[in-house]
Amino acid sequence: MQNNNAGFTVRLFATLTDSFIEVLLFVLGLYLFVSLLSVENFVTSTLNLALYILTFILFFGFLRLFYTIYFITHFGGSLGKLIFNLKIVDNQTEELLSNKRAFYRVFIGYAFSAQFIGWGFLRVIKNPRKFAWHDELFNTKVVSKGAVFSGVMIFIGVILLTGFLAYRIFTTFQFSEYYKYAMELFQPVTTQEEIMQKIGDDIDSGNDTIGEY
Amino acid sequence: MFSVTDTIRESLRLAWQHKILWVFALLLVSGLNGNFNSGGSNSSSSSDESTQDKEQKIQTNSSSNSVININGQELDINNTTEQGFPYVQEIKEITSKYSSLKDESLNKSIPYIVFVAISFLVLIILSVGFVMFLQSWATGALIGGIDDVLNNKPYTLFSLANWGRKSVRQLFKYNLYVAIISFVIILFGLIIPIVMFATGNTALEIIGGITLFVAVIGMIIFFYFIGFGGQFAVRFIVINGENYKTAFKNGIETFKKNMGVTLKLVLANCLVGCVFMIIIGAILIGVVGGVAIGLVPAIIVAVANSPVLMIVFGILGIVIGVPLLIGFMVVMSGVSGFTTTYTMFTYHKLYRFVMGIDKGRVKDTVDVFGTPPISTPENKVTQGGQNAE
Repeated sequence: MQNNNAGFTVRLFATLTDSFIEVLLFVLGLYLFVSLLSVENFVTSTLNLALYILTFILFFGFLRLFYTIYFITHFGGSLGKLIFNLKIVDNQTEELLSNKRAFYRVFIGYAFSAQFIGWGFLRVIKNPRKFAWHDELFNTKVVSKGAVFSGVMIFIGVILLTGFLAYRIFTTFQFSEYYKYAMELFQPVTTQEEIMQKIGDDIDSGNDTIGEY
Repeated sequence: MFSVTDTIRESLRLAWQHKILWVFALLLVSGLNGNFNSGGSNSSSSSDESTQDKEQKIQTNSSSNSVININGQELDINNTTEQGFPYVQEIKEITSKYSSLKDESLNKSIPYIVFVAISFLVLIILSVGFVMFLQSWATGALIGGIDDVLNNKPYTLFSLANWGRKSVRQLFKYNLYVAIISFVIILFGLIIPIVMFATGNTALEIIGGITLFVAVIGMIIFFYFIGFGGQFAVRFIVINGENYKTAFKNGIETFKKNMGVTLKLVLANCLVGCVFMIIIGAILIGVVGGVAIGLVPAIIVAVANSPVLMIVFGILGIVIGVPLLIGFMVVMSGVSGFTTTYTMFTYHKLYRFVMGIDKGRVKDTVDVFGTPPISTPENKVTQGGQNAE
């Protein structure tokens, strides 16, 4: 089994896989909430859907941080890295990182590498030992533990699944009924505006048709 | 004697030589870039003022959707024929649809609004905490790196990270401590005048105004002391390993004892800052001018209304515009990092002067505040000799 330091391309695809897995989770949750949409409980359905989207956007960043730290300390990398047979280890001992070190690497290290439009990440290309800035800061390295073919297959699979779920969301019966109802509710605003305008004009012009009745 | 011009010259040179320190400086200045989308609610109604005015004349009774009030006259829609009153059917539809939805929405959305508000608050607190932690680490790493440079010690990213890790806790507590003190001062400085204004009594309002004026002047002076004393305080924490409260106190004391030389340095830095602003201004003018020149072909294309030209210029715009934008962002980041690193170098040289490090006479912080020196290179041998005897 080869024990080389991982290069830029495979690390990039590992990160992209992580991102697509997150999108997949979001779309999966969206699919569940959309299947619960109903015209009869329009307000509750809308509030639940809005709450899910808002909560996901607000909190997923923090959840991602903690899940990444847990995976690095217990398994040697995030899901994307594990899928591509990569492992984050100590540079000298090649052991898994401690919680504190993993926290520093993920939270501070990535922020450091992201400066100057991600120059710290791009350094992997030119560095002979394939170290990014966050690797040099905390004395870690990313090693390749096997072939990446399975990782590529899973990466493509995740993208396809996400696309399929997104398509299903927009074609599901509940969504189309809900969408139609929502459009009907808000669509005739202009017509209602015109009606109100006409009523108002009648009142302004002193047309006392109301008084007659 | 502390030479401001030599300090500035040396700091500019060293800041330029040690570019990796700019990254720490950028983290110190910007922390994380967080965008908080407050998600303001958009009203679905697009009615204008005149329509709204007229709508007010027509009120619906929410308990009975069939009765409406027009100019003080009540009208029961259900008892009015469509021929006798125009738009009855439409009004029925509008009022029944909106009033039932409105009631339902208001009742059901309260728990959601409460949950979102609490979540947002928690998120803000967490984000501020994380950013403060990141900035504390960056401060420790930057000051440690600058100290290594001035001591002619080699450094690596790993050694700089260790500087940050050693002092991050105390620096975080120090930042929190300063934030709380500042908040308390502002709060109490404003409460008394506000209470006096609220009484409505003219004499008390005058006293309140004077109190407010004095409070504002006092706050400015206090923050002045905290700000400049803080430059020493953070170095006492990072280099001397002091506790944050002790460092806070010692920082202000050090500033008070060395106010003249500190203010000279501050004024000199302001002048240097003006020069940087001119340079940044020149870059910005260049960028704006470039964008303006770039718009000329776009205008020609728009006038010509040719799809082929549009595609060609669109591609050219992306090919030229995107690298230019990236280059601009890199340059601005570089300028920000360089200026912050330079400023930190100047204050560190001042700190070393105050502590006597540059003169080869090592002082303890205790020595700075009036007690005799603990040890100096001149008397170390003597002390050692005396101990041996």
